[in-house]
Amino acid sequence: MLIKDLRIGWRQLWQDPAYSAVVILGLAIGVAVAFILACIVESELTAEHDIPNTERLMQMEIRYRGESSTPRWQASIPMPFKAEADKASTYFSDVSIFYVRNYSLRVGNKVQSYRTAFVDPALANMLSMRALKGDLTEALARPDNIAVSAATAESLFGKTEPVGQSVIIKGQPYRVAAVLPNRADNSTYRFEVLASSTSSAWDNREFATRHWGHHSGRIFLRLRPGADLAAGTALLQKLFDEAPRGDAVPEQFRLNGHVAEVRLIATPDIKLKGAYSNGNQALYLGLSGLAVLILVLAAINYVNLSTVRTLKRQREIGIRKTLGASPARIVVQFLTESMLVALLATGLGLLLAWLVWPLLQEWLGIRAGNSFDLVMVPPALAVGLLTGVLAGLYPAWVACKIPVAQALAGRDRQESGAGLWLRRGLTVLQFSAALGLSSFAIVILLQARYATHINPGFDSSNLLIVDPPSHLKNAEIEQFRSALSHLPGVKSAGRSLDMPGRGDTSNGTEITLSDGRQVAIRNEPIDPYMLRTYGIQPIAGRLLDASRDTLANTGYTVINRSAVTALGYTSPQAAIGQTFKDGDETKQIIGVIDDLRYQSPRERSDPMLFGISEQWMITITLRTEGDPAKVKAAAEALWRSTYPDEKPRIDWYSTHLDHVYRQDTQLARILAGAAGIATLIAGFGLYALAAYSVRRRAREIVIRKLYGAGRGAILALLGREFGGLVVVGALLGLPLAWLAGERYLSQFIDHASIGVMPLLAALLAAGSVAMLATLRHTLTALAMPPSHALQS
Amino acid sequence: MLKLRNIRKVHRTSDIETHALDGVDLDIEAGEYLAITGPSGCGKSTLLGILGLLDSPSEGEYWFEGQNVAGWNESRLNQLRRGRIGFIFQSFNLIDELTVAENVALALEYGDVPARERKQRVDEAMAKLGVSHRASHRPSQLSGGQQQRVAIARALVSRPSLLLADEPTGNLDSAHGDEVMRLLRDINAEGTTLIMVTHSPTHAAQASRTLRLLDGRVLVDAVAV
Repeated sequence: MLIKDLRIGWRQLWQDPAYSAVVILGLAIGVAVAFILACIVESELTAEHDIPNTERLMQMEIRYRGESSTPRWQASIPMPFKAEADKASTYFSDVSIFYVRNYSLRVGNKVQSYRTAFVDPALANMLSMRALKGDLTEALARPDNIAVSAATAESLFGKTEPVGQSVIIKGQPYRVAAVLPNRADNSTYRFEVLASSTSSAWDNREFATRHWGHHSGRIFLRLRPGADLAAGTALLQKLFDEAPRGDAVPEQFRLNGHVAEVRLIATPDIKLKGAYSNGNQALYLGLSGLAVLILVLAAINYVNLSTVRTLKRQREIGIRKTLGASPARIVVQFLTESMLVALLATGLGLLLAWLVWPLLQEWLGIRAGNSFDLVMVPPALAVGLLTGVLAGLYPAWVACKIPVAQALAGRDRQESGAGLWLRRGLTVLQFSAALGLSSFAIVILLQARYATHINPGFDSSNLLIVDPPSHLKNAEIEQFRSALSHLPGVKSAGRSLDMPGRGDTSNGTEITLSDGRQVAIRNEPIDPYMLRTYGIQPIAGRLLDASRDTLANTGYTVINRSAVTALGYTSPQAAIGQTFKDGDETKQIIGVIDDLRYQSPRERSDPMLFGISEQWMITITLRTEGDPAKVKAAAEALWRSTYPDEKPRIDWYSTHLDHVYRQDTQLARILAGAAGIATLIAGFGLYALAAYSVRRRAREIVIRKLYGAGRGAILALLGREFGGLVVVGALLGLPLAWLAGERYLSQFIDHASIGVMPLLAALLAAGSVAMLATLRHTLTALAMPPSHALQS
Repeated sequence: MLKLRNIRKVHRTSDIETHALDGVDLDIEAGEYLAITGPSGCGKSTLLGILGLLDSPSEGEYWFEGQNVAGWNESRLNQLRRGRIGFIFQSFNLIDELTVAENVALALEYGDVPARERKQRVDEAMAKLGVSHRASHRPSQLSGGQQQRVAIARALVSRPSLLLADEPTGNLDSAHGDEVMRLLRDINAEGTTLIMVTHSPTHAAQASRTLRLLDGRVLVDAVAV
């Protein structure tokens, strides 16, 4: 029976190829989009699917009272704590640091930068890593060995056997002892090169593993089976509080009595609840909801088209009923046909998704390793089948209700009023979803654009950021800065801890004011060229300036406007000449500048000090003029001649900023794409409804024309029908989109003044799509000659 | 009232040319009751369409109340038709989604009748045709005879000077058919020009004049005595 129904269904599709193409393609597009969205979420949440017992694999996180207004969790831990964490072996079987930096590897003349992780040998056990080639234990046991991922091995050595090969890191040779499987780009444990924590390639090890104030790497721990997580966390908290860090932490800098609060996040929760997860949970939920929504919108089209087709098949249904087909049998037949369509659409949708995915990855900047795993195909087919059953229920019900005698007499029954209203309601739902999504996507796009074009407090054009090799000493960096400053096209070159707004590195300090108050404040080491290079003007006092100050002037400080308030001065002018103690050194405030955009627009500006330091001015900024490509090429050439073992790390300020806002831009693009598809689907749904409505109302249109209705009257008649759906869709969708937009923008301290523009733009777009969708059938209606009334 | 001179109507498809009307000459005076008969495909409905300003002739002159309307576009014909012509069809052509009263009112929607007068006219028309008690019903809830009464009410509500009926009894049993014919006679008796296409010789015989068509030409034009 099922085979027979499938055969009939197949024949139905074959007999009407236009209808079949429209129905299958429409549903396939929905399936493809839903599948891609599901894949994005799945790949984010299952990046560590190859690691067993991830629920016991913990990331350590801490938060300080610090200089920021609200304590934030961070996964950057002082590396000296690793030795303390080892003492908690009752609860944790393995502990490893995970110190990651981009390191350049040279083979012959080829220099490439790789994400290099310095780890303890325990990590191999924690992640159940198995070498594809070579010996991982050996790779992590010797300081002159490294392991590389399969992709790294291929990019370094091509088809040559990598194990045993030598690579140059910072002038020293290292032996490749093992090749490991690639980790997904979105894995927490992602590396391209793996080296031991004792590796001599780790140039910063001495400092990083001794200084408690230096937060530079992560610590992962594996909880013993059956061990009490809360007790283990409490022990780590105690060890952190009592760690031999030298200086005692004053009470006012403690958080709830702790030096820093400690927590452990299980690996499956890191993306959702961990530090830097930044609303990921809502994002993944939103994307999952979006996948379901798109599928529902596509299914609605199927319901509409299939219902119209069912009404066309009244005679066939009448004959089947006459010959004894029970209502249940009719339902089974229609559901089988619906499932056939859904299966074909799912297959085509998966194919479309597979074809489009590489382009989407490029557009969205996503590198999800686990997507299009064959494991995803059976659930996709199951969802497709379920969609087929659910979407086929209404047309099957309509088929059941068709009266036999009337159908056999050739007097086709029109759909019931309730049925028509149901389908109108579904089309309204499509438009409200499309309008809401479009409007929300526009809000996010505008905010992402605003964030990347926000005035950072200085002229950000033509700023080239150079990140010198990490092993350079202060004098070497200064030497390189000086060499860069003499390049043609470079107006000035200054050094600082980090580029404003990038958020890679920050530094905090506790200072003692002249009245004895102690304040935690962010401290940005800069050289005397930095503020001038950025073109910053003082609002009181003067800047640190190379014409007056030297690198030895560590006693002078410039503060920002937020610091004026935070330090308790009545005005910027009042702060000038004030002194405070930073450790043993007395410093004097010589100038005040406006707040620079060091934080994202989600956060308030931190109070900041800018002072010359003997170290940590590890970022060089060049103010350039003339042909940007030539200046960048000259800087890269200088880099290569100076540091032949290092890949140049030179990029424009705007490129770095785009990277910072990548997630917002990605979200906006995903939403914009989904909104576009939703609008298309809704337009398509309206097209189908318009076709049906005009056919259904043909008699009415002709009779109205007969009694004198002109083109305007017919246009008004159809406009009320179709425009009404868009208007009701707008009334439902836009307020929700407005609320969602307001909620999204409320995350930002500094956000674009968006107003109702996104709502109007979405309405205009939906209205245009509706007009296009109904144009053909409206013209058909206008062209109907009244003499048709005589042919009924 | 109506004057047709050498009216031709040609239907063309890609390779076939059909002469639906082939040189029809006809004069119809106000108040006449004309029945048009003939076998299927003889051009009855085409002639009715042209007379009702629903279609334009391919050739010839059609004088409607003193104006030659041959060659007029749809928009001009539309304007001229408003309120002047009523139509009755074999299949009633009522709108299922509208109530009886709304169906009747539809004929006034595009004319010059002020809104306040419309309701009064609709009520009068429904009362005259005996369907007032069905005003809020849908056409599908009525019998065939009642549906045709509603269609006649709609045709009359604009008080047209010309009433065109295309097989008005074709979908009715004989009792309802006779009743409709009686109504049409009464309407004509009140002064409305009535042109009716019918297959029924009995019904045609009730008209004051009978036109018999064959292959698009007037075969017989007989006035009852």
